[in-house]
Amino acid sequence: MKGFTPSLFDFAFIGFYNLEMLGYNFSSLFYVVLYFIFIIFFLFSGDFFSSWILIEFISLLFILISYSLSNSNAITRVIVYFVVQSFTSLCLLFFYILISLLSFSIWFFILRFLIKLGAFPLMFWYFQGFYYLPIVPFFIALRFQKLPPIYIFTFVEVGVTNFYYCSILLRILIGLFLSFSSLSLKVLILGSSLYTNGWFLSSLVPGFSSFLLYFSFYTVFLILALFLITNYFPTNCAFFIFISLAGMPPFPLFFAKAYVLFSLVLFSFPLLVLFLVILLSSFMLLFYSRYFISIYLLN
Amino acid sequence: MLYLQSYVYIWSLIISAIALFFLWRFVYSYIFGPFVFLITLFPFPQSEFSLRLNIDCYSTLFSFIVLLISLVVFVFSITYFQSFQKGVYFFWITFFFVLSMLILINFSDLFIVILGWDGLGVVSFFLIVFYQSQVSIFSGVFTILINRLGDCLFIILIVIFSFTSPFLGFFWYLENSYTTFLVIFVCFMTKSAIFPFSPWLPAAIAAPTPISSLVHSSTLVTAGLYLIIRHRNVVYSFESIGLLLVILGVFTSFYAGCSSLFESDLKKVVALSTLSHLGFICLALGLGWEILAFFHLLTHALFKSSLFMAVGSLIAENYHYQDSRYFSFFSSRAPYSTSIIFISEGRLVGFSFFSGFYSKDYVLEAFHYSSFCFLLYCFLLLNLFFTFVYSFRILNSLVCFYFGNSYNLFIKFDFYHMFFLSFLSLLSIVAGKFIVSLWDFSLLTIPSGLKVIPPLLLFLFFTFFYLIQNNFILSHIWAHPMILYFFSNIVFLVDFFTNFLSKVLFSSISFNNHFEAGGFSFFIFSWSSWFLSVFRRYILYLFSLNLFYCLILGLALFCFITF
Repeated sequence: MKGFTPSLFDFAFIGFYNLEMLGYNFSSLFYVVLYFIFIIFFLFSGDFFSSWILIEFISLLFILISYSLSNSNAITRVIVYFVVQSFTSLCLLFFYILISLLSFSIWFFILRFLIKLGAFPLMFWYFQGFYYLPIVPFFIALRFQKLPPIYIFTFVEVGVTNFYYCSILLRILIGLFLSFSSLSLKVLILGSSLYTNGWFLSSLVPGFSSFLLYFSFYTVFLILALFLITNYFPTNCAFFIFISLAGMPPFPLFFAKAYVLFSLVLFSFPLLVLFLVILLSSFMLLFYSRYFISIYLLN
Repeated sequence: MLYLQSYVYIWSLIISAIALFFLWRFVYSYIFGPFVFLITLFPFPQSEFSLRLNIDCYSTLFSFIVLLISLVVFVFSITYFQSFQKGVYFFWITFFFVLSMLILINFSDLFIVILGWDGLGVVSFFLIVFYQSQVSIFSGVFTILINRLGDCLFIILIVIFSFTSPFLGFFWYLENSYTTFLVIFVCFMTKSAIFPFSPWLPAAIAAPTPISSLVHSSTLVTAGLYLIIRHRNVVYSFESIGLLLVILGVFTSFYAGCSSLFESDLKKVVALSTLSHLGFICLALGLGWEILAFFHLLTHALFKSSLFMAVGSLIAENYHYQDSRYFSFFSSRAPYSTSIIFISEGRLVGFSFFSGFYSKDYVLEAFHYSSFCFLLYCFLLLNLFFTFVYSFRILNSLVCFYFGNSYNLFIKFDFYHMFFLSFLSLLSIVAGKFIVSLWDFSLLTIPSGLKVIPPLLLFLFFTFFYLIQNNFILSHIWAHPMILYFFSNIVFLVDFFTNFLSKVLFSSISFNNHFEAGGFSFFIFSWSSWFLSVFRRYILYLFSLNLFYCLILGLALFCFITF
């Protein structure tokens, strides 16, 4: 079955058989299923210790997934990601003890959170760590690996201060600048994920539910954009995928953004920050436009 | 071909039925006054979310005109697209375009209006990139990016009005005056191509001609101005909006007229005349006569669409060459299209008792009643002068014999197209008198001495044009490469939006190399050199603009001071 290119119709009936033809083995699929089960367990976990253990399980499973899917060449480069993740999950326990017993500052916890997410001031490992991941671990690392730290972050009373607003704006700005210089789709998605970190932070202000709504909408379109890398989709879809990632109104992601905006207005978010967030998002279409321009050229 | 024809005839029947419905609603609302048709869908956090269909004189008459023009465009595109494979695709896209325009016109709930507002932007991208060339993709992306800016501002408007309005529509209260004012103003200016955002409009002629006649006459470019007219109670409650609208409108129409003098692309001349008319409508809005602005919007839509379709048929007969020097002596080869062009040029200039005569002269007379300074009036008269010049240039290129190809393609146009186009041009002759009889403008009376100025300008123009044509030195100054570059760039605006901004962004690549590794090295080593390089570019660019913009901004300041 060489040269088999599955269509959109085939992906509706996705199964083990189809995936094995694409080069996935059984063990990796087992790890993926187990990974999502543990993610669901994590979302139901109540106390700190069990959630910490589940995070460790999740990162272990993620290592197994990417190990089973990547070449020997890629393994050596992926190790950056694992070192940073394991370091930060150690820090979680350590800083928890420091903060709770010795009443250290909450800033230690925030720093650890920033490293784990690869957010603005501490994203030195971000492009190095992510770029060589194979596509399925790349997607999981971009989305579902970020869910547990953000979920834990909601329990910490950080307080919506000026620092919070500044970090939102800086993440969006730096994400825009970095996605501009991209020459491959993977780098663009990495830059835009830095940019959406800002949106995630702002959607956390009303509550975790609005974050989940935005997160789930964004995840669907990120899957579609990642299918573009693997060339499984007809490329005519590229315009719609990117234009909805940019948040143009008739498309679904706009409604998620509008929900977040309206709930932010209810929670008396400062209007200047809100307007800057909206206006800066207009530039994102410029950067996405490079990847759908070439479809409309004849030659 | 036959399949396409039957397809279009069925659609045109449906469209004409809807158009007649809107005409009936117009008569109803003219007699009994406006009313609101409302369905509440679900409550929103602060205000309810509903379908609010406003039926009044403005919306019904404008949607009738839009449907009429789109009907003629549909029929015109049967012959225009007979050699293309993507005919049906084109019809569906155009259908969505007209639909989103109707949504924009008829609904007043902001959450619904933005669907139409942005549907126009997205669908216009597909229409502009129809030919799939490098030029068309450039102008398509340029258009969609400017539209995206306007769309972001519209979302901000929704956020602002969700504080105050009980029904998520345009609603005025006094507290957030300044930001709301700026956002409303810039948002509507992006769509209507007023001063800083105008270069997308001449670029959009890369679309096929039936679409240009739809876009440049009634649908896309008038959206912002229409929303100002519709929500005039909100917009006019700002103090300084009149002054801004007048100055920007006069300036826009001034440079559009200037650049159309130096343009040899026939289609682009017509597009630039659209730009100057948009400035004129903006001026009428700034004077406070929103009903005159609406009147000119309608008449302009009628004559500009028929002009575009006639020019488009000429271009199709000339093997799609658009250069006006290749159209020499076309009046004998395509007499029907040329006569349509003659009639619509007459309306564009404001020939007596045509529709353009009523709408244009009332705006000029309304200007005499305002308290603006004499300099602006001079600019306005210069605009009229330019209108004469470019309309004469179009006619001159068709009638006179310079050089060019002696062969042309004979295209047999559809009978229905000829019928509808004749109907449209006849209607746009009569429409002026008809609309004047609907609303009473008898308040506007001026001394007859002022009325003589435009015909005097006409004589002035002929002497001027004669001098330039025959004087050796003047004709060389006229066609100097610096001047040609200046006006073909639309006063450097194209240069600003494409070259300069991209240079600034590309200078950020060194910035990015640092920030991919966290950005610490940037702050330690190279921030100063980066900022210096960006500022050097910026200052060099400013110097290149200096001569013209200092003059214009100085004049604008002068106007402010004297006002």
